[in-house]
Amino acid sequence: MNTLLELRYIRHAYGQQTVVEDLSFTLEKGAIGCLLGPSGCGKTTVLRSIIGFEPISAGEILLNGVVISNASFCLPPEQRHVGMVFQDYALFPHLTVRGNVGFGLHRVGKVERAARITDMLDTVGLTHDAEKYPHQLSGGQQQRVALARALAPRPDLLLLDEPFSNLDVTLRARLSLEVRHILKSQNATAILVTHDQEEAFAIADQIGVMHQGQIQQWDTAYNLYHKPANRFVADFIGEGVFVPGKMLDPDHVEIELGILQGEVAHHCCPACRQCRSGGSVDVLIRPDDIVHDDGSPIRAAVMHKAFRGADILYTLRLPGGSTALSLVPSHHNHPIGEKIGIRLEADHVVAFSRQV
Amino acid sequence: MLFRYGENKMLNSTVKEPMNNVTVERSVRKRAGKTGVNASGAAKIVVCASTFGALHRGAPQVADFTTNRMRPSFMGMTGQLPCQTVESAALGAEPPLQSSATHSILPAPRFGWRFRKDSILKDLNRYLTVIFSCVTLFAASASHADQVIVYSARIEQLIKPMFDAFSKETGTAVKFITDKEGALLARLKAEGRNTPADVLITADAGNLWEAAREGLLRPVESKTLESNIPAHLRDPGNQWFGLSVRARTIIYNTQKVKSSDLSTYEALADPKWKGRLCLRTSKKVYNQSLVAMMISEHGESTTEKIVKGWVANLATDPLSDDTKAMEFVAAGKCDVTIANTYYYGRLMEKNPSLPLGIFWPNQEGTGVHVNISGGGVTRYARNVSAAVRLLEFLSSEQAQNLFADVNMEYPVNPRVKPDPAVAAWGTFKQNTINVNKAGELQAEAVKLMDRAGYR
Amino acid sequence: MKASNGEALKSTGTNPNTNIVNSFYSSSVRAIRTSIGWRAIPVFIATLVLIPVGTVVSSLFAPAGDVWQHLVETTLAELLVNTFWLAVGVSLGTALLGVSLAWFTAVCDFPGRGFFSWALLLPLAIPAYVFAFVALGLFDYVGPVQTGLRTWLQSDLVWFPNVRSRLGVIVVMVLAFYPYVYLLARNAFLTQGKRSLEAAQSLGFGSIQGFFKLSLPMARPWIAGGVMLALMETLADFGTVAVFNYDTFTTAIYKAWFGMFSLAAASQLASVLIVIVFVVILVEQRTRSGMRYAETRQSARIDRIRLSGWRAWSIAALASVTLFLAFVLPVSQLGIWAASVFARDFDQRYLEFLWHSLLLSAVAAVLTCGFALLMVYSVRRHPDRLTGAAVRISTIGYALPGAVLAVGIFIPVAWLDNQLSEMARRLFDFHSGLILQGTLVTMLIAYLTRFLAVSYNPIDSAMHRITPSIDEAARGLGLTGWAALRRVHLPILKGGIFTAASLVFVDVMKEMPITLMTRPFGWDTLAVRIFEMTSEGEWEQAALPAVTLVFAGLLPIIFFMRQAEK
Repeated sequence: MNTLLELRYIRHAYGQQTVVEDLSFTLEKGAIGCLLGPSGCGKTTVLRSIIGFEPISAGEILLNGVVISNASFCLPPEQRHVGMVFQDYALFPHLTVRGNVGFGLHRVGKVERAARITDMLDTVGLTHDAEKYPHQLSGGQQQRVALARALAPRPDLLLLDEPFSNLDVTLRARLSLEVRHILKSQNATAILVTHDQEEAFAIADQIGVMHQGQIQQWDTAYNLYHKPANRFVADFIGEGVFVPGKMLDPDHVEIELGILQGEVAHHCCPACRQCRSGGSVDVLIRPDDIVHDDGSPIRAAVMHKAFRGADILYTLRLPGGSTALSLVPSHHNHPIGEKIGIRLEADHVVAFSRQV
Repeated sequence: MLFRYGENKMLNSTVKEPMNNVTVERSVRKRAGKTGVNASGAAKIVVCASTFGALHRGAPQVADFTTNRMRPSFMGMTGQLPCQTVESAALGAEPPLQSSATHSILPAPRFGWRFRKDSILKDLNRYLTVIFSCVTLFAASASHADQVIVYSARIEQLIKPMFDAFSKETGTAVKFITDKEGALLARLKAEGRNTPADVLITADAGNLWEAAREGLLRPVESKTLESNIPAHLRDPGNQWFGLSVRARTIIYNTQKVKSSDLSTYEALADPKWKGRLCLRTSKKVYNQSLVAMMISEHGESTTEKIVKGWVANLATDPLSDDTKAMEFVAAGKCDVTIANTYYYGRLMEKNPSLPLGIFWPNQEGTGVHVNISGGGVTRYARNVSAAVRLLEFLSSEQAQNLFADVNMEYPVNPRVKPDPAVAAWGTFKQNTINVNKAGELQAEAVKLMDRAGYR
Repeated sequence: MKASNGEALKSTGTNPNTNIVNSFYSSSVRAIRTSIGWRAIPVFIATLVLIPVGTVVSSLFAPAGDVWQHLVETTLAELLVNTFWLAVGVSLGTALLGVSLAWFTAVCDFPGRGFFSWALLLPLAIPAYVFAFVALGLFDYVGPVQTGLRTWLQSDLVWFPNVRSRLGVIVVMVLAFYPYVYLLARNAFLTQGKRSLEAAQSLGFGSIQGFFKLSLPMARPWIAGGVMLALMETLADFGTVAVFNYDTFTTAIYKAWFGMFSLAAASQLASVLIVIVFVVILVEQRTRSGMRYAETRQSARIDRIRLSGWRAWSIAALASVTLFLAFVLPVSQLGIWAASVFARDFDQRYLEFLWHSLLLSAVAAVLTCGFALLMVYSVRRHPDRLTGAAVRISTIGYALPGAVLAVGIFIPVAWLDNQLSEMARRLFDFHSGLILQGTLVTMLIAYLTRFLAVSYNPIDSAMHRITPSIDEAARGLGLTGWAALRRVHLPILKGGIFTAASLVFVDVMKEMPITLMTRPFGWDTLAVRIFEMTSEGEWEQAALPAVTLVFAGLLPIIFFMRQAEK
């Protein structure tokens, strides 16, 4: 089996308060996973449990098939061969870049050590800064040192705790790609923790959306976006609105704007037979599902517009009263209040049982 | 308050100034050296705010000391400021600060307006005056009328009773300070002509000799002193006078040593005393004086042999004081030591059961080595007559008894009988070499002891 | 209105004009003056420190004659060896004891940790020379311990170690000075933060390895600072080595000066000492620069490593034994001795001594901290070589033996005084006597020179927490100058200032030679009393003022330990 990391129903509690409950996922070798979620959802706790800074109160964590954590046992972090890049980098201020990167290579011979350090510095692009001290580097450079330091001892698994939160937005975008490239080139298995979707999408192969201590869905970015498993994921990932709809049959659902046909990936409560047909559901409509068509008979009023450079995100009021979002190329600049023609263009249909 | 100036409309409109602007202006205004801004300054500040906007923008930038930033400098700028007229209109009147709309835009310092440049200076002035007056309060008083000032190496409890008796008898106050001898000499030397000291008192002769040599004392002609104090216990040049005698003699363990075993200081260098001798450190002046006297008697090379012999016989490293040495003897670590008589007296008084005996060596020869605690009048003394009177008093019978009482020393005045407890130790022959030899040869003695390895 | 005001601005009147010109001129003069003014403070203090040093060194050029020759022939080698081994022994001892105790109380958890973390600082209240005479009184041949053992074991105890030896001096000094290292190392370990240790763990270092490979190197500047403080105290000490009769440079200085009446030779020895001190200080300054960058932000409070079983108890034992030897035992012995003389000796005068000690210490603490604060500000304003060098020189005073410093200050002050009174006499025919001398001014100047180093370091460390961005934020909110100082800087510096004040307070209370030499009439303190008693060998009588001094010094220590905990 190619599974490197496996979490089985782990639970973590601070006294009475449960932070993580019943959490499971697996990660294959060479894959980059991500735990995505708002603040306080417990993602950092999961990360710290994986590396062993926090014990777990139930469940198991297996690395390469070996149990490293369970309710009664917690292998010390230094024996796990798991590396970590901290949110504030935690560089050692009294060592140079070279010293920092080479810090974890104490089990390796001198020659190989020097070679490995040079190799890592090359990979992250800091060869000319090897003799500088951390306080002399910029934020981006420090982050790269932290990455190099964590990767130098070739850990089985690398954990990154919100690595870009201290950087500005443009740097983030660029570094996301760079980091992914570095990780893939080293054939590293990694887990990233973040609250920023764009980051997650840019870097990770598999993303787990976390909410209130549980993983709502562990899937690729595409699936998260187009096939969310539940309401929370649908809400959290990307943008969209729920419009009321009626099930006609397992393949068709009718909404105000028309009848959607296709793979209806609707999610129902288990014992609900109404959802099969005739039932009321909420259908997820993303901004890219609604297209601006001057020739369409359906007209919606512009309530709000957000200029995004290439596109404008219009918030529209549908004739039936409900709200929808539409992403329209920005040269279609309609003022607020104007009625514009729209058309439905959706491949996937995501529907959830109606909630009060 | 705002409305006093009848400009409320204008003021109200300027109330809306953004906070930053106003406060920067306020500090700018401060730097511009405006004085007399009082509690109603709130109003004036606001008035001036927009004026300073223009100033602010046009001013060149200089470095600011608190924030390492650039700030506008107003050097060389001229112009009339309308806020001045407003200010001058409010002659003298200082309405109390009332809470008003302007309050919300000004940062509210807790202590109001006190911390501004001029009042800071005023405060500083005030504090400095207080400090200065405190200092001068403690300053040495200029008047020297009817008091004697003493620099004493003898500690307070061994000298104060005598001074108190003197003050009672003559009505002259005695002020004194105690310190190590060397420090006192250095102090006297540094003070020079302006020294407040009238009298110098030490606990040994060597330092008096040094003081005389450095020109810190003055010769005194006094029949009383000459008759009270034997010649070998005072300076031949009359610059200092012994006031009490301490003998440095042999103390032995009565259980282990018979007095017939002992004879002289020099004999303690004999190999039969190997491992049985304890000595006080050579760094203390009493041993230095002893060795100095030995040098004057026997010459350097013999004395060096003797001291080397002592060192070879030591049972343990030299001890820090006489009392410890005697305790070691009593405990059995060694059998004999050399100590000052009054330490013996004190120790036996505290602990009468100790098996210690006192022996007077060199009775066939030159006699027991003695040192003095004494004093002299300083060269630049203000109150010479009182100083001399003090010395005379200290050598008189009344004070001599006090010396004996207080410290179990031998009186220097031959007419005074020693304390009964002291007298019980027996009479002995004193070495009558003038004690100034102790000072003359002290440096030699120290070097000799270094060479002999006597720590 | 703006426009009209602008026009009014351009018009020049005569009277208001000069007013404005004057006020603007004074403000600009002040601007220039402030930029020089701030720099003048460390330079002034450095000069102040250099005066005694210079006085001492200048006597170097007077012919010392054969005294120096004699020293070289006889005792110089022994002096060097003794001083060297003392320095090495005390450095190693305090480092080992201080760092280990600091680590265990800062990072681990064991029974009684909370108590020990502040209790281990209590020995600061006890002067080293008091330790010395208590240790000798207890453990010497005639002391109760050996006497008791002799009677009990009926033997001659040849195996009992000789207390009056090099090892004895080192042990006493280690017990007296380890709190400096303990304090600083503890600060270092507490501020290191969880992150660094976790980073080390993620790189494969367990807790023990992590300590040696990471925590210790990161804490090195603090540890070095503490060891330097202890070392400087050791070099300056006279009381302890005198009681032990252990020959060091300082005892040789005293012997040459007071025994051989040769100030020149004493100065030469003192100059050698000064050179050694310079070297020590340079080393300390270099390691201190490492501290600046090692100042991490306060991260999450460390989760303590919970120790259990024999480990926990053995560490509790270590801390207990240290506290016992360094505090409980000396204080008990002092108490017993004091009790035996209490009825006889305790009188009004003791309260007077106590009052004088407290007052002097308080005034000196305030003065020294004030100056240290000014110096820190001037360094902040002018971080250049001149100021840096001036600061470095200013901290030398700590390592000079007290008597050397006292005389070094005394001579120039007396000279100045003489000049002033000469002038007064000539100009006003007024016999003023001594003006400065015999006042508190000389004393306070001497204290300032000596203890500036102690107060500078904590305030300097605290100042580094005030980053330029804090200053800028304050400015953006409208606070400049005094207001910024009062409302922004002082609250942040408060901890450092109180630490500094407490340390100086305790140090001044313990100080002896300077107090002896420069005090005004009737200003006897507890330390003076202790000196008088010990010079006569009256240990029991010395115990009473000693124990009073210890308890008076405890208050600021406990207070500043609370501050340190924050």
